[in-house]
Amino acid sequence: MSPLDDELMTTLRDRAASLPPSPDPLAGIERRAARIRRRRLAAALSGAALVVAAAAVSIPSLVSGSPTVRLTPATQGPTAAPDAGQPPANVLSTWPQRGASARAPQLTEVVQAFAQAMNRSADVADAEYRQLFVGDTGRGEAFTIGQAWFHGDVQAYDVAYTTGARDSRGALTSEFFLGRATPAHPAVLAYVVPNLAGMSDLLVVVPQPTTGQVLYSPDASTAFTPITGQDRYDGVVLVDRAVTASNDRLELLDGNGNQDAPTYKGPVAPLVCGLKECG
Amino acid sequence: MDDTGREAFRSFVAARSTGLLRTAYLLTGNRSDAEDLLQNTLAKTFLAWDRIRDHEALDGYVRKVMVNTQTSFWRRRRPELPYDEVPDVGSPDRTGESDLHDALWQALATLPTRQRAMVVLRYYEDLSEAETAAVLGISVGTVKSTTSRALLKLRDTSGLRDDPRTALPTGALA
Repeated sequence: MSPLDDELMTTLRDRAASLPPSPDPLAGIERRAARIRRRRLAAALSGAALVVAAAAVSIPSLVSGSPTVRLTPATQGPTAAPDAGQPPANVLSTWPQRGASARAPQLTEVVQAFAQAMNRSADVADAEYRQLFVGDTGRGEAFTIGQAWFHGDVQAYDVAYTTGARDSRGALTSEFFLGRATPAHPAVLAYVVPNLAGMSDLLVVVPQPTTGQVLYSPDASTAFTPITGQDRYDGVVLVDRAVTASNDRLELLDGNGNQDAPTYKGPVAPLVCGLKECG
Repeated sequence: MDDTGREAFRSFVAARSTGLLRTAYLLTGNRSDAEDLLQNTLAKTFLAWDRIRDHEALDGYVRKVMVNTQTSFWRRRRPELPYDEVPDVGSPDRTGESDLHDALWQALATLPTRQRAMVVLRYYEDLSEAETAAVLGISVGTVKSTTSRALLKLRDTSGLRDDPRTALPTGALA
């Protein structure tokens, strides 16, 4: 034992002992447990649960005369979306829908923003969105990343949507990001959630389901470093980008950790523009 | 959970909640977050209660739940409340010991969440390096190196680098 060891032990013991006991630790535990159970269910069955929630949201919209919104369930099937037709071939229907958030953006907003960004607001009734990940920062901002397309089109696009951020005047804002047409069998979808209050940008990396280790480098001159377990969520990786980050790069290994043949090694594909620039 | 299980859970909480709250307090640094962490930990334990076969090993299980809840990404993203101010516990003058401990407590707040958890497990819960590694799901080597870095940072951040009472153990990272 060193002197520092001794002092540290004494400090911790004294501080802990200074704390009065909790008056009723049992109060609310069952309610909280029920909340956790619901959240776990939402994560495990995120596809079905989120679709149900979104459908519930869309009903009042229909009643009030807003455009119809189609939403694609996690598992494609004729009973789930009988009139939706075949989605484009590049829809990642085998990828799970991951994540959960009580603050999840309304999927109807994403669909509307997509139609507007594509200059096809009149076709919003034929637009669809499949969510691949949803999460929040715990500070009010929530984000979703997935694919959107129009019924009958041959291509789906990478899209992302952030809501709950506040602008410089303190007003709540939402931002839509339209990416490339999703390539066939992509190894990863990724985007940067910008301008979060009091923290750096957040890089959200949604790898294909069989991905193992994910490595990250903030710029071309920095070596790749593994993203540790604590920064992974359902296989999705979240990186606090340093303010100096530029040309972010990713390296993805397969589930066997084969470093000789990464499933992806290269730049983070940017989502090309926000709504203002695209719309 | 049946009534017997509920009763056993209540007994466990009654017996252990004060100790667990103290650990939560050291992990979070303030009472409000500590109570929230304790509630989350107990709620998760409640959900798993029927699946826990070895109730003799409950303490270890609950400790692991608590530390992992605290160090999980989503919790870390919450805005952190400031560390509680040092309370006046009315202790006798211990010729500067109090200042030293206050400085260490404040320095503890500057450690990253997992380093702080490691310090609490090693120096408050008195876990071995192997036990700490098992709780955090990391290697013993990582525990050793990370703890060394944490001690170094504690000593430097507390402004007590040259104080003989904060000399580092032999072999610590320089």
